[in-house]
Amino acid sequence: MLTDKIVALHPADAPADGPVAIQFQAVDQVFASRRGRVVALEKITLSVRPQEFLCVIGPSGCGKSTILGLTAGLLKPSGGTVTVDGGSIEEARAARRIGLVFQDAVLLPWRTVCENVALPLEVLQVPRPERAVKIAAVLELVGLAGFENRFPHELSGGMRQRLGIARALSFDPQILLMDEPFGALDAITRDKMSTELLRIWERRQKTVIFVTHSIGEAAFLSDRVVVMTERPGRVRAVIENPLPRPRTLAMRDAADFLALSRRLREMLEGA
Amino acid sequence: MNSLIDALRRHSPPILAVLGFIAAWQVVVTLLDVPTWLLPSPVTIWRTFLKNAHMLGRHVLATGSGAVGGLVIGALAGIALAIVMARSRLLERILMPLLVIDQSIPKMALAPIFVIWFGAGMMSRIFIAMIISFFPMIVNTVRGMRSIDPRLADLMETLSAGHWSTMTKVRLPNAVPYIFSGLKVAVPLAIIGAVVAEFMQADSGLGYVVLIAVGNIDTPLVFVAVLLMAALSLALFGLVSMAEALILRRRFAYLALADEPRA
Repeated sequence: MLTDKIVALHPADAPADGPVAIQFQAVDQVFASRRGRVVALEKITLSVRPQEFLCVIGPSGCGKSTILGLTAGLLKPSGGTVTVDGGSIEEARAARRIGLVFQDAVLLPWRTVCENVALPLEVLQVPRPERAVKIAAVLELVGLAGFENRFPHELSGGMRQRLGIARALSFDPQILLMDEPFGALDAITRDKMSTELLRIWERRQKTVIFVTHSIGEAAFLSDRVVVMTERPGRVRAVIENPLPRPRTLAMRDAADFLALSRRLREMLEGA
Repeated sequence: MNSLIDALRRHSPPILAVLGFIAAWQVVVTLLDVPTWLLPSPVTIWRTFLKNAHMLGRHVLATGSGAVGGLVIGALAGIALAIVMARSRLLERILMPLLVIDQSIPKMALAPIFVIWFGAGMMSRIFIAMIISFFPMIVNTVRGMRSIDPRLADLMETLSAGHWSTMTKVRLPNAVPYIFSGLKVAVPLAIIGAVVAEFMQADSGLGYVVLIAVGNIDTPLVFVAVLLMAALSLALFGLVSMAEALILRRRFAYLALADEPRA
């Protein structure tokens, strides 16, 4: 079977060849709830390469977001280890290496665009003049220059998401964790934001873990796609994306893209 | 100009209702010849007010400053304790039930004790106004600080933000509209608190005026004093609303968007 062949070609727990940015080693995540134990993740072993764009896709409730929570150090694994650059999550956090982007941006509504981007820089006590330079650069990068003094409620959904990305990039973390960042946007804005994100990623070279439930998004954005099974979440397969970079929206009609999408769909349905 | 007419049109029903009520009151009292000591007519109350206006000023000032003093101290204490409670789960678990118990104690019934402790005068007024306005302040502030998106807390955590930093940058700003709601609840309570202190024992204040007037069976003066309490309460409420509008207008405009249907 085709599916089995791909799994065999890219076994999830094979030792990583080359450098590793984020390593999941036999990670279990169990939540205790009133109705008993819920196993969110089971024996997740996964290597994320430096500057890789890794998409995680799976049915809802498969623990995709839990993977982000573990990488950000917001959750402690019930079993196994998660390391960043060979060190602990705490070290990575202390070194300000992790940026978060959420589905609906999660901005501070009483702060202007400029002040929202400033939040991490204030927390990290970046001196004021340096702050201004970084803010201007990152707003320029995401295409929000000229909107510095607007409030979030005065922005469109796409612009709010750009602001969320600008805030995550403001302090130049090595790792960007994105939790369905375009999930709440309409299809046209979504396409536009996808190309924008790739442009930004190519310029800033971050290691990205991008959680999505959209096959098209995963196929378009990723270097590799991790397909998860339904609960308990396990790695069903890790699939290399053969599409060349830089990517254009027109590539979505290419045979490679369609073949990849089909494979991903088969994997998900098999899950 | 147009906006003035609009405002009049919008507010005219309640204004007309109040005027109608006063007129009906006047008519009933006059027609039925109700004795003044039982229920004075609006005109009599107004005359009594004019006759006593010169001496009422200091009483309004006494009650007002006691209420404001208690409100300010109660508000600051409420906000401060809310911050402390947010700092430590343990403290919250100890304090929250205590606060509920505190709220169940009828503080008016304790007023005599406070008068014994603090004597007749400003201290008693301020103290009772303070403990009575404290509760809505702490409850609202805690609610405001808690109602942040949990992912904002996550974001601050990944930045290794300290507790104080999350407090000043996320939780407290989020609580600002809630703090104003608390103040609006606390204003009339603080006035009541000050007046209750005066009922116990005082040599000035609107509560004292009521006591003296009742002693003299001067019912019109009782009405004058009570209406002045209401006016004081309204004025303070208006001040808080103005401060709220000034502070919230720019930064918290999104709240209005959530409340009102968009044009």
